[in-house]
Amino acid sequence: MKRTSHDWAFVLPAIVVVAVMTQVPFVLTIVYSALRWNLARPDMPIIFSGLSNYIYFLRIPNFPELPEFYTTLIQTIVITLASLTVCTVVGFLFSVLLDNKIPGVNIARTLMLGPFFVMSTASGVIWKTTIFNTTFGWYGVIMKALGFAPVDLLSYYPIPVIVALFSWQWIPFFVLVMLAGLQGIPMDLVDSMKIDGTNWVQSTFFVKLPMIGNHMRVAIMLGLIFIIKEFGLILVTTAGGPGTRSYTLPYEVYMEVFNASNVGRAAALATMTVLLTLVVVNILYRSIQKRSSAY
Amino acid sequence: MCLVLAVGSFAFAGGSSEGATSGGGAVTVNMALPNNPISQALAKIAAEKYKVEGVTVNVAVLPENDLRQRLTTEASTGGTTYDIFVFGPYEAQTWAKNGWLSNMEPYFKGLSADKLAWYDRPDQIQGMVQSLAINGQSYAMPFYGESSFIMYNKALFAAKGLTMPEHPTWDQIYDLAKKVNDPANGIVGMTMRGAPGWGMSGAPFVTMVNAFGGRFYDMQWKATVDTPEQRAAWQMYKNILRDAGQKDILSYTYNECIALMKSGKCGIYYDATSIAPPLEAADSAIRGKVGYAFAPHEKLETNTAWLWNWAMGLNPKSSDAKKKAAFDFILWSTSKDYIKMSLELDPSGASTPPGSRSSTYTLPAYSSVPYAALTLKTLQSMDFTHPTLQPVPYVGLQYIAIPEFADAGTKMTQFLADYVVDKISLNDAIKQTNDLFNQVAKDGGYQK
Repeated sequence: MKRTSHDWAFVLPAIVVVAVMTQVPFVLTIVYSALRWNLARPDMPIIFSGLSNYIYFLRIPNFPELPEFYTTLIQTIVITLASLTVCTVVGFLFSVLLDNKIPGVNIARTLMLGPFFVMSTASGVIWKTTIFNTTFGWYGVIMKALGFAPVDLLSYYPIPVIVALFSWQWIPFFVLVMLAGLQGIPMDLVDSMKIDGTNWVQSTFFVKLPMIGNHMRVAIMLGLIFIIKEFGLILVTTAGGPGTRSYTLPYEVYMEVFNASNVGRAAALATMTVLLTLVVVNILYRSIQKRSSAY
Repeated sequence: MCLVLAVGSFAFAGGSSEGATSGGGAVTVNMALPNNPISQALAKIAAEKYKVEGVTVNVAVLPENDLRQRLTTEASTGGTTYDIFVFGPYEAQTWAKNGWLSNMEPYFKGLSADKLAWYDRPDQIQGMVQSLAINGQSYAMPFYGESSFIMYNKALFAAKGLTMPEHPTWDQIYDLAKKVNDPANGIVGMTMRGAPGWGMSGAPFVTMVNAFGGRFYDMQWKATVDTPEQRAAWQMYKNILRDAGQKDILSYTYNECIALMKSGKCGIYYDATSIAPPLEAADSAIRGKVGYAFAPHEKLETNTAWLWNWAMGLNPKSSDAKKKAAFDFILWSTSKDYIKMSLELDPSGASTPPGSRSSTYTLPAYSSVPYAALTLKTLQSMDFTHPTLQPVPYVGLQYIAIPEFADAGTKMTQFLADYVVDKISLNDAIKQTNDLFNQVAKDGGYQK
């Protein structure tokens, strides 16, 4: 159908809103990243400082000792990749489980999706105070009842705990997407697998899994975007600690702007975080096959 | 990106807001307080008893770290979310100089003689008032003040045949904590704040550094973290918490410490004097069984506690009507009448703002509480202008009164946390902290 100028008139308001909501903040943040601007020091004027904020993070003055930025970057990658792996694997297994017509499956699906609708900061507070607390929490009480000494998990294993909590929050999202894929598989294909005598392992991992490949990639791509920017849960559980052991790039942006009051450095860090995310998302996006699978 | 944009945009916004007034001149005053029993009591009493026609006061209670961050951002960007800022002497000095607080003297000049007499400014503890003033001009009124001391469970001490000295050293405290510590029976020897934050674990830790004879800068603003005195303090802090402290070291803010101490499962607690009231409250398992001692010392024998107050100041960006209403609320909540109302609510004194007025300690209900005498003695003896054994170019007992300390102090406590749980060695922690403080002094133009 030939496009007319009237078609653009209908789309223009949405384009303007999206541009304002997404591009204006991005451009302004890049501008701020080139300024020396400390809110707590109004006696030091805001001046253009070029790339000095980026150099502050990227320089390695005592090679091979890596500055904090690189440690935080590695931690961000580890937390994100580990969370995505757990979400994908466990999410797939749960979706296979829920892709059955059995009594109560609808209730099971609803309960399974529950964690996704709990606000991350609220769930973080509950996990930290009522579950992980070694004196009053479930974990502490159960471990003592079993004769074990409870370990302060948040202090000694902050990254595994954060990965577990991110996964707990986001597995339902992965289940939703992959279940939609599984339920899109035609029934005659499922019947023909039974006739051909394929067992459960063969039908699940060699037939169904490849068929929902695109769904999985979409879930991973969206999960990456959401998990990489998550910071509320880290704030209320480990607060980035101990030390900076569970800092991620978004958490460091938050600390840089709200603790150090340094808008310029926070903007530089935020810009680098977005660029990193865009590169990875772009790679994933290109790998998503647009053509539909041939069944 | 949105966080940065939001903060940056607020900086270009500002100007007074008339938006909260509605028809008929009604005014809404917004404030946020740090989350503790005294603030919760103010929220409750204000809702019940502060009745001024046309004025609504919204009191929010936030975790302390969050409150600081939020209000600092608000003040520095000219925001108008809050009309009353609640902060301490650390912020007061800087904010007043930066024009982020309104001078209160013109408001006092506008009061009638009767109202001034009712408020009784001379009754306020002058050390607290001066910490919030510049050149004699007040920029905030103290809501409550605190120092720090030792609180201990007399029953646990008696069971072990132990005695707490009135003026203990940190070595004595460590020794006593280890003797009380009884993990098999679920008893913790000593609890202290472990959660990082310059105003959280930083508070007891910096007073410990001062007590051991340490300091953070010499008179040329060269960082002096890598010294035997500082190292001794770092080691003592870790030893106490690892050998006799709570298991979840780094999760403990003062709220968790209070809960542990109140449960009767902890021997010693070093923290703010304002924490004593909850330990003596009706719901405390150790009510009537709490002993008190001065803040521990080592090489520095006096002035080893901290001095802090939570004060209320006016947001200069609020409208004149809001500022007037806010000033009236500040007077009400820092008045002698409010002290009496808080005692009516809770005769144990747990909800009564301490350390703001001398007359509080003469009230029959309050003067009989077991911690009152030591609290007053401690408050009156602290001098925040001379915090350390050797001379320093800064003031502040549990902080350094420079704007950069909020970040540097928090990072220091993060290195401390790392060291306490053996993620880094003492040498690495000290080196990173020393480098950080040197960088701060250079970036901030202090070190020439």
